[in-house]
Amino acid sequence: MCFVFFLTYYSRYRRIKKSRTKIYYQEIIDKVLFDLLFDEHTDPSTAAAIFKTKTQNHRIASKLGLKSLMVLHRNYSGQLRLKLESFYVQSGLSQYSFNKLNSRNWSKVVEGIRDLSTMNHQPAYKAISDQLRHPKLVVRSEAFIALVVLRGTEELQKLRNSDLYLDDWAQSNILYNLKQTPMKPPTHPQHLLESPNETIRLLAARLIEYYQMFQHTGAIENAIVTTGNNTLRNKLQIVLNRIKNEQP
Amino acid sequence: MTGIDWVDSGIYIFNYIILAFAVSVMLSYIILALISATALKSYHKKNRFVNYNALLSLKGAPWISIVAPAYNEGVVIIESINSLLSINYNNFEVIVVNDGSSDNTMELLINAYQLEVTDRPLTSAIPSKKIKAVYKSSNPAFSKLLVIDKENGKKADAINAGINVSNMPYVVCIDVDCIMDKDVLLKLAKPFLEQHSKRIIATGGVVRIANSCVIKAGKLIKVNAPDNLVARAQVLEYLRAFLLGRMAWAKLDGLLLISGAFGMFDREIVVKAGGYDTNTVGEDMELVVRMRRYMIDSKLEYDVKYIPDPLCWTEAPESYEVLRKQRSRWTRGTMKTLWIHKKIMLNPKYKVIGMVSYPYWLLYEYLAPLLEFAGFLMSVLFVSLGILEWKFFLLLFAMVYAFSVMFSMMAIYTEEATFRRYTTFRDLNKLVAIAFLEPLFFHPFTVYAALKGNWEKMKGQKGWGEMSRKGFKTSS
Repeated sequence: MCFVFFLTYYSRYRRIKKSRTKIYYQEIIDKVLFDLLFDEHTDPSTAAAIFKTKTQNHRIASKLGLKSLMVLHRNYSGQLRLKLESFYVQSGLSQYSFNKLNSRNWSKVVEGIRDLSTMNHQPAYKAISDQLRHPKLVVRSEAFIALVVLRGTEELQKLRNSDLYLDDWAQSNILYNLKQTPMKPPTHPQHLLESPNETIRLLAARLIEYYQMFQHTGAIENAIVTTGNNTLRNKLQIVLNRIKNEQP
Repeated sequence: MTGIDWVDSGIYIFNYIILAFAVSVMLSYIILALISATALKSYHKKNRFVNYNALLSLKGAPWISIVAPAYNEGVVIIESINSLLSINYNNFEVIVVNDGSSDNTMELLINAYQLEVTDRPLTSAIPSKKIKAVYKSSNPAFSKLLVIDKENGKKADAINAGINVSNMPYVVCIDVDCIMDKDVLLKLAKPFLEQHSKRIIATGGVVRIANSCVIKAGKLIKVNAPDNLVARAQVLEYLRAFLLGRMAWAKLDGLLLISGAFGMFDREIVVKAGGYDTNTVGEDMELVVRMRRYMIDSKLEYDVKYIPDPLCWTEAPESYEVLRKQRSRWTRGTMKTLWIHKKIMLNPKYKVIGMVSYPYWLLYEYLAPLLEFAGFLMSVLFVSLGILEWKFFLLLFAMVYAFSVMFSMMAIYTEEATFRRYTTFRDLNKLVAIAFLEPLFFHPFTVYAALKGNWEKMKGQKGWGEMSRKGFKTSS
């Protein structure tokens, strides 16, 4: 009883201490990132040097820095976005994300994949591709999504023979990323509709709907006829009905 | 002792039966708590980086009807519905079922939402009392709202009517006066999107106590530990039940109860199982057991999921009288459900629910208060006869008390290590203090209420009893 009692209070004490540390580092990070974006005299290398000196690569600072960086990266475009990407590399935060990929904790690996793809870190392509062979399905799904985020919808053509089961949750994440990071539509969605992987066929239909590529509705109709899976047939039919309703 | 051999032997055996029962209860709680801890850790690991907003991008996200029965809820109805309509999700509708209210609930609804009678086709998939009319708003801003006006038939009947009117594949059944987290549907829908080989027939969530919390425009603004001792004891009770109990049962695939205040169901299975039973006051538990039985009897693969996030906040009784009525009703509901489904008891066909959950509910949920009371009566008798073994009695009492406090502390620690809704030291101290007091005043009262429930059941009482509410503390 006493043990749980002290554990509870100790946990609360640590939490308060941690939140104070967070406040301290967040102020530094906000200042560094504000200067990086809006001060003409602060280039990514200068900002990265200040960040490293002031935070000493403290784990909490890296976590917070990465979080703020990803939010800003989502909200800005053009030169400002490039500046943020450069800061990501020069501050050592990209390495921090890379290190997560080697973690034995699969949730860390997922985090690492997400960090790298969100920050559009193209050199991570190979390392993320390797995660398609991870024993955990959730990591493989995350890697799949990340590759699409990094290389666009054309990447799906390379992945069309993948045996990965992309459930509706994973597909909603792919569609969400398409909205967040505007990408060109796939050039040959009809090929995806012929994928041996039924979940990729469904994804293709959803992409056709998302990009309003009405010329490919016939390919969806074919997929409905040829599939032997009732669940997939129903889901494809629902997508097709929506497309037909949206068609001018 | 008495010196009479057979009496002494009887006392000896009785003592050890009580001791064995107490130890088995504690062991079962510890085992469940350990399973819950593992399941919670795994849930957090899996969900801490999840972006629930991604689901808003999927046009094919599950279509959900929120069914909210309302009976004489005129005081809170508009704020509650506004809160429900602002839930963060695309594919949903809110079906408010006015269950023959005698106050101005219907009038308020018609005026506030510019309701007009609609000719939406009605099905009678599940029997329910007569529906007088179905209303829709003429204002497109409230296009997600549907109001059913029906004859009074109590909560279960009202939900059945809502399920009949719904034409969506999933229904979320809630109490209209509960405060929902804005992401409630995103979180409830996720398991349904991840279903692969097994059909998910229901998802339950955690209900928390909102007394003394600050509510603004139907949203929970600040969580406080209740000032009222009865309500605060229920915070602990709910933490223990939802974080250390049901999480484990879900992990074991033996969850029998999804709270009536908040649960999501596969509509087709609800209809096939026959909907809510209107003849019991424990309709929430009864439905889950029946849906599970339906799936097993039909040899269909299924799953019941449980989400430990605090998504639904409700007002707990603050007076002993209302609490007594509520607990008495829960006891009657449990008795009825266990009786209806007695066939599954120790029946291997029903796997975990038959071999573990049902016997557990029978022994530790239903019979426990009766055994506790028997122990109390025997102790009083022994004291009056001067034959009580004080050493044994005090040791047993100390052990049970210490365990009770420790288990409550485990629940507080679990909350502290996971969801951390009680942010101030003051709240933490309030919860810790009640952990020491609760076994002395609250638990004995719940035992009394359970006994009263048994008595009422024997007398044939079937009603809910008047459940007056104080209302939430609102911030302007």
